[in-house]
Amino acid sequence: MSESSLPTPGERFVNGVLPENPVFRQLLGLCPVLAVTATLASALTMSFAVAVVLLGANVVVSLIRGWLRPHLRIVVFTLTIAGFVTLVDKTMAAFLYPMSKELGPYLPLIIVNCIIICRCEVCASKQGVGAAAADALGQSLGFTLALCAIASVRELLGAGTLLGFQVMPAAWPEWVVMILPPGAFFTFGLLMALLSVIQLHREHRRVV
Amino acid sequence: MDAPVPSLDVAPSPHVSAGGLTTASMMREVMIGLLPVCGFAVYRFGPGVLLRLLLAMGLCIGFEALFMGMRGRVSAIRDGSAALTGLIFALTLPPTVPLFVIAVGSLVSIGLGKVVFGGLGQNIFNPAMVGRAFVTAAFPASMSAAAFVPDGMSGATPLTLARAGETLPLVDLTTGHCWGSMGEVSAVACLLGGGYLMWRGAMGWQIPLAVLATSVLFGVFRHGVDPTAPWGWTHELMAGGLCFGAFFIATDPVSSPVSHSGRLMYGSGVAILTWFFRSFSGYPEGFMFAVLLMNAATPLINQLHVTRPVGGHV
Amino acid sequence: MKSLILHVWHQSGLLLATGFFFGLTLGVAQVWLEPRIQANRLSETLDRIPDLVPGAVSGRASGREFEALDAEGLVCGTVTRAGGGGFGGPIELLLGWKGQELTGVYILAQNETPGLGTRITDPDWLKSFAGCQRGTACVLNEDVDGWTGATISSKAVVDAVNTALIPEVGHE
Repeated sequence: MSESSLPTPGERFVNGVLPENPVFRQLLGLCPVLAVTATLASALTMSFAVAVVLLGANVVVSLIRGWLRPHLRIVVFTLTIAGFVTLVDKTMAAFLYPMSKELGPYLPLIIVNCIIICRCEVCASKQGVGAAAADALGQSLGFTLALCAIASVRELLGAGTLLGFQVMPAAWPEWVVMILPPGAFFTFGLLMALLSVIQLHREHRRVV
Repeated sequence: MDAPVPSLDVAPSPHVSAGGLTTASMMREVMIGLLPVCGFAVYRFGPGVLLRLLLAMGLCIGFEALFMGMRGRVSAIRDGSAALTGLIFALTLPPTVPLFVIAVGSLVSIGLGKVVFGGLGQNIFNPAMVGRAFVTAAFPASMSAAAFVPDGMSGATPLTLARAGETLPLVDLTTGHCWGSMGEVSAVACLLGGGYLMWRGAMGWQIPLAVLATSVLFGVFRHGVDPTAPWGWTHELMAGGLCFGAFFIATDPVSSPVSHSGRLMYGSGVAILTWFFRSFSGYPEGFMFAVLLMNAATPLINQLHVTRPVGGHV
Repeated sequence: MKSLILHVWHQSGLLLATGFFFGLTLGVAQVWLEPRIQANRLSETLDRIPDLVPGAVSGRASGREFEALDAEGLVCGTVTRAGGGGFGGPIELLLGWKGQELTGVYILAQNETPGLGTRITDPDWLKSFAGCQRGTACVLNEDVDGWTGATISSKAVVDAVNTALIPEVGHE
């Protein structure tokens, strides 16, 4: 496929936010979506870590795309991603120790997050650095929005707080189930349904 | 637009008319069947119970009207199924349960238990039990074993006592002089209501019989393993939510199997799982989880028990 | 022969190059960051010492234990680590000692059910362990109350403390 028929950097960025949102539209990277969204703080940290890794991997893969051998490309992608993930993991342990402890194994697990290898395959290995970087930023923004949406609902209902600050009245009965894994599934499913409803409404309006 | 497809149920003959048993009349019969249970709960725990039962029914009707209205089908509330879901949900709660627990549970029962699947007849799980499971996980402080005994009173629920190796006189369990959720305390009231439903034909006998008989079997088995335990098969039957559940929860026609043999299998499954949860889980009672798990197995049971046409292959 | 080497380089040169690049980067990062990470791990424990041993203001690592130091820099107690299996995973504890007496317990890490099992981190409840003597087991519901609805979590903490109180039992 020629490079001119692929989306422009601007389109790549916009697509990542909502039309091709990695979580709600592509259903990728669901492990962190379900595992680290009990509090908004851990969701933000995880999103930041994924953004750094995605940006790094996309830019590097885009730079070396001319030398990629088709049958060895996945190995190179994995190597690149693993390198960046290990760097981020070590840096977090050194400078953000409590958060790195809270995220535990989910930081190293970014290596197997499909969003990143998907973007390397779909965009970075085919397009220039500009488009790859824009794509990484758009997808990261989409991922961050999704994680924060789920985490806000869970933390608000489950603990009555946001980012650790008390938001709900002190008598708020904590919905413990929202902090537990089932709460992640409920919230994720309901938010996805909400997005679909909104999209249906918009399409309906466009037709009428 | 295509012509509407006529709804055809294919079944082997002979065919007999249902005798005018509609959804609405069936729900009404079940509510009449629940009257002795509700009456006893009000007598035993005071007028607060009445408030909670009415609140749950009102909220369930309200949520059903709201959600079905969003789908453009407000008339769906006329069949009374939402009110019944609310009533059964409330009867499985502790008598002094905070009102917000009822509100959240009603929302989840109707919203996540029923309407997301498409409304009455489409739901995989028993809606009342979905709501009950949600509040059990969400508000452990309001739903734990200690919550069943009002402040300032001593005592524990029969199943919590059983865990500690103690027991209650059988007559107290049968007549309801013990702690427990609003609907479950009196086995006599449950039998009375259940008997009425069977007499009226609003409910098949297969599921309650399978649940009760299998429980007796496992109670005898437990007694055989440990003859010194004060907890016999009669206690297994009378304590906790078994009687109430066997007649009013497990018999939900939507989430239980269709054929008679399938219903027997389903009922035994519920009883066996309840026994396992009571014996080995972190919760004293396990009827709710047993029903939800067997609900999930219902499509499989239906596949195993396809009615064979006379003289033909399946 | 020459064509074979060329072929191998052609196929895997990029892989080797990226491997070398990331290996080098990670090596540098490791040398630079590892002391900091170790210091973080240590200070996580040392920061707790003043709460665990009365009179202590700081501490230092000493073998597998930690020594609590008072304002004059003298050793006034020890802090050890203990662990056990809870309801939702392993529980890590820090125990403060003054001679043979347990002076404080802190939950370093746990993964119990929020709202029920997490009550084991309640500071007032953990204070009820203080005063236990080495060699005498602490009994649940006598020396220390159990949490309703968190029986397994409470028992896990008591068991972990007991393995430290009676080392002989712990080594069995």
